[in-house]
Amino acid sequence: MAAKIFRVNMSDLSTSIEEVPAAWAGHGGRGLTSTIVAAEVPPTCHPLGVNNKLVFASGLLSGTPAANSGRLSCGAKSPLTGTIKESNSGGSSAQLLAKCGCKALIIEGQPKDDAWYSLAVTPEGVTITKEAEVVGMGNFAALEILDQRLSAKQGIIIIGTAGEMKMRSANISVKDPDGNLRSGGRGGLGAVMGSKRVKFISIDPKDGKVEIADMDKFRVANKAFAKSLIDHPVSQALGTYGTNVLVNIINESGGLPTRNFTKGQFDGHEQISGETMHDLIQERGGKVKHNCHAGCVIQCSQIYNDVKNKYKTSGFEYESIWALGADCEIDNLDQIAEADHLLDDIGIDSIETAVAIGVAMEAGVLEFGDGEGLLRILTEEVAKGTGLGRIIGGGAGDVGRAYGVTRVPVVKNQAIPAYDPRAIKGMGITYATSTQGADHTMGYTIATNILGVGGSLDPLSKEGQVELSRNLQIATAAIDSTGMCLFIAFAALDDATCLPALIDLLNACYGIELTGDDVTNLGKSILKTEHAFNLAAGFTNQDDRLPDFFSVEPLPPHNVVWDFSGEEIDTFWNF
Amino acid sequence: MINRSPHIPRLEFLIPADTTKKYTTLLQTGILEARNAPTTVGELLASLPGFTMQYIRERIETIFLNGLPVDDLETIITGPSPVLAISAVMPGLAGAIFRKNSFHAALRTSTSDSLADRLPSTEKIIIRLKLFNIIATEKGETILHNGCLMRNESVLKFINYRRNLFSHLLSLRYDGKPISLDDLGSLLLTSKTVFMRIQEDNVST
Repeated sequence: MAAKIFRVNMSDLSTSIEEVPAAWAGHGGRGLTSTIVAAEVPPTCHPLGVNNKLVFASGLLSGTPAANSGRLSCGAKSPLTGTIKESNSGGSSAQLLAKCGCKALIIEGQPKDDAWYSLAVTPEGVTITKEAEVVGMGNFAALEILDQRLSAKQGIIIIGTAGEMKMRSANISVKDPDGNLRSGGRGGLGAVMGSKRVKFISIDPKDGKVEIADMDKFRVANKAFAKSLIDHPVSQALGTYGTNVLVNIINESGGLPTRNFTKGQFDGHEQISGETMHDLIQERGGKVKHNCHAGCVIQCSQIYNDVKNKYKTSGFEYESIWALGADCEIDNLDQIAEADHLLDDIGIDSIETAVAIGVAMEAGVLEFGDGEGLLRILTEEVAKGTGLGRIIGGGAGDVGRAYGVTRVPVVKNQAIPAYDPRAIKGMGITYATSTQGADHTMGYTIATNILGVGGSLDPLSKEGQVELSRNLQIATAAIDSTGMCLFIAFAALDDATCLPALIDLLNACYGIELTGDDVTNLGKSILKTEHAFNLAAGFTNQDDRLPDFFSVEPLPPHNVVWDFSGEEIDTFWNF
Repeated sequence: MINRSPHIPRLEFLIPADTTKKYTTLLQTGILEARNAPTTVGELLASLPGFTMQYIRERIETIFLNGLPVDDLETIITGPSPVLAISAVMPGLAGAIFRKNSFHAALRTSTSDSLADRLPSTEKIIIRLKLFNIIATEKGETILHNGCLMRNESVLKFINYRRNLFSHLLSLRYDGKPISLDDLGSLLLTSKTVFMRIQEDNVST
């Protein structure tokens, strides 16, 4: 059975199943969410209003046995950035949605009453039910109740209280195979789900399966693909230390933003490093290696226990640890883990919220390094939606505007993550030009040469650097459409069998003959679609800029500044 | 006039058998290696116990000298107080940018560091060598068993934030005399560096 579009109208509480329009058929994941949002959402609409739409899409390979293919994309117009947005997450739901025969789930409209609802997705379609019991609950308490109400095999997509309060940093969380949470963190899409008054979505595929056109070819390709992932040294590092292995290296480079982006090195980096985290996990009986979805062979996640050897958090990522740690000058990994747990429970982006608190620290709301103060603000202010809590929940930009702070590290109002663009300028180009605000995952280390998007300009010239960033973003957009975890990129960079095997997987799954050029064109088309939406929403090239302070405040220890002109950045869109 | 080197205290930890690997994270803070200048990154690494040229070329994918990425093992170690950091291959775009001879190296920031950091070191130099992630795990046990020079403040800091680890300590000796962990703080205030060695108790097991 070919996959369909499942549509839910929250205004009249109706649902429908539709054929996939031809123009959407070749898309999955980010490519599909962006295509649908661009086609159906008025670019100038209010992101929390009746005209915005929330779209969930599994990847082109989700639901198949393909390794690492379990990312779920969620798209809408972002309340944080005002741009088009896609945020993706691990967990079980991408695979289960695909097994329901659902290519995309579109949620539109808004209820006319104040009631909350849940959606239940099965191969037969979507049912809408009024929900009261778990409304107002944090994610973990709600999950506990839903685990009793639903079968263990069902997927759950849920918002916390931040989403219910429509905070602009609210995320959407997805239940993982162990019953913990993964989050589509960036861009405040949880607030869009809250504006539709949908607290959670359950997914039950029953006996549903994803059809594979040529199973023999698929098996051969998947074996080669998985082997290339498993054998790569980065996979080994990720499976041992998680992404937090980067703390020491980025600190060494002088690019670890510290004390609200005033320094590039953090004195307490050893206390929060991946190496220290690994040792504490082992000492306390946690798991250094853990997968966020079935079929992941890299296993970069982990289970971090507290000092009493009890579960505290999982999926403890470098960017979250950096933001709560170095950016706020907190060197206590247990306080950072507690904060990460609270953020997951409230359902709010750990990067945006922690950077917002860093700005609040600069404003004097609390002292840098005050870990207890951070935990108090999360529990007493953000979780309860007080005035201060809502300002912080609105993101770093809101905090800067509320307190008159000028050093606010955002692009298109989204917080810049864990790599200072003054010290690592390649990241800066991506932050400036991304269609979705500052985001480190928008231009990944994809093997541009294999995909046929290698640069033609001198890579050491500024033009060449912009070209390289562009090519990385094109390739990343394509990979984001497959439902693959971006961490396949490392193997793709070094192992000549990896990307061809991925293309073989797509061809075997759909019975088609894609080439590297087709994949590249897909990436270009996604970027152009997203950019066109943003222009129609009122964005201009002047929004593709880093904040002024990066150009005028030298970053210690190397005392470097951001030195790309607007004209140089604008060449990004020359394709 | 007799040129007398300052006394460097010896610190010896006795721990249960097969547990040294748990202490290798200490090496992220850096060991101190004395060398005659000029010396290259490759020469220094090749002189370390267990570091073959094949291991250095293939396993050590990320190197920083004084905070700047190094592509060439023939790079001469410069600066008055050089800091060298070594790591396995790292994830992410940033990881790729800093990787040795990376295609993505074009996306690095050019820096104009102080003249002192670029000048070749002269005579005898003390290099602070940080071993990160898998490199520390794979090579750290031998370094700790052989003993290494470390900054006192680094040792104290590590003991403070990993206090639980040291609850398994069997004995601790400072210049040959048994001491308690609580006494260590004041003793380490008397010098800046310490020669630290970890030994496993293979007798009682």
